[in-house]
Amino acid sequence: MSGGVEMGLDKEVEKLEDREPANAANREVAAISRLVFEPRRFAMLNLLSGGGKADYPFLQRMTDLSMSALATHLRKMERGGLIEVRKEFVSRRPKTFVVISPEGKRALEDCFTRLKRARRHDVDTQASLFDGPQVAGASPQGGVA
Amino acid sequence: MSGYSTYVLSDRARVEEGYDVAEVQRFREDVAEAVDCIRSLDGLIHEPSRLAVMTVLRIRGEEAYGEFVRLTGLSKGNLSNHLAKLERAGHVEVGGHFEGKKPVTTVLLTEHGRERVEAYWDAMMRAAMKSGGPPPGRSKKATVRRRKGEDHG
Repeated sequence: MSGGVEMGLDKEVEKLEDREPANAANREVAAISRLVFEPRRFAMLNLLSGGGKADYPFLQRMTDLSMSALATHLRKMERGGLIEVRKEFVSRRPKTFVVISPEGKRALEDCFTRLKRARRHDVDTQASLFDGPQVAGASPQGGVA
Repeated sequence: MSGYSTYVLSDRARVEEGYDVAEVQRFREDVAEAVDCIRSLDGLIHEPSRLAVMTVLRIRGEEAYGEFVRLTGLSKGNLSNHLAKLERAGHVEVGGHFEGKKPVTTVLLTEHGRERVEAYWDAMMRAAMKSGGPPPGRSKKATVRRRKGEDHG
């Protein structure tokens, strides 16, 4: 259950390591887990990532999803072990709350790490591309009168 | 569940006793902004494979088709599908020229595509900054520490 996401990530990383290590950053981005990266799910994981617990109406307003679509997304994330769904009693009525699981937090962090690496990778390679004619907006350093 | 003090994200949740109103307000605004940023992302670019392609193009401007396989780790068939989608939306232009007698297919980032990918990264970095912050906590009653008197004379 909880191993679902991690196993997926491990497999992806293994696949990456089979190939050449150069330019791994872009490949890591291409191999980001779709379970996490789907925009609505990504948004929900983000708002939960601090450790708050959210109720359904709040998630629905934040994501602009119908109740059934929201429930489907939540079920997918719950099956993937990204979130936990809890029932609690609030003034004697059962109420459903959603919290992020440790695996979910890790998956989201992994996702951001990959993105940031790809972005940094951009910046690092830019220096060597100054001589290339196709880099728009990169003004050559020095030689200014 | 006693002692469970996670902040409740809810439309109805009032500022309960013990929470700092300003802190709660700031947290809610950050959450809303992160979600807005993510929702404003170009859905076409947000798909991981296409994001990798656009990120390569953002730096290189133009790249030979064959290079994408090496740079992104995608299969050729997969790649051609993604590039077709990006081309239909006007994000990239697929063209070609001859190197000697060898035809080379190149992919060019359009002006529109450049704007979209820059906007994408801006929004994503803003979302990354605003998310993951700790929710407001209840203020704890000051604990009184009692020092045991040792001096007896």
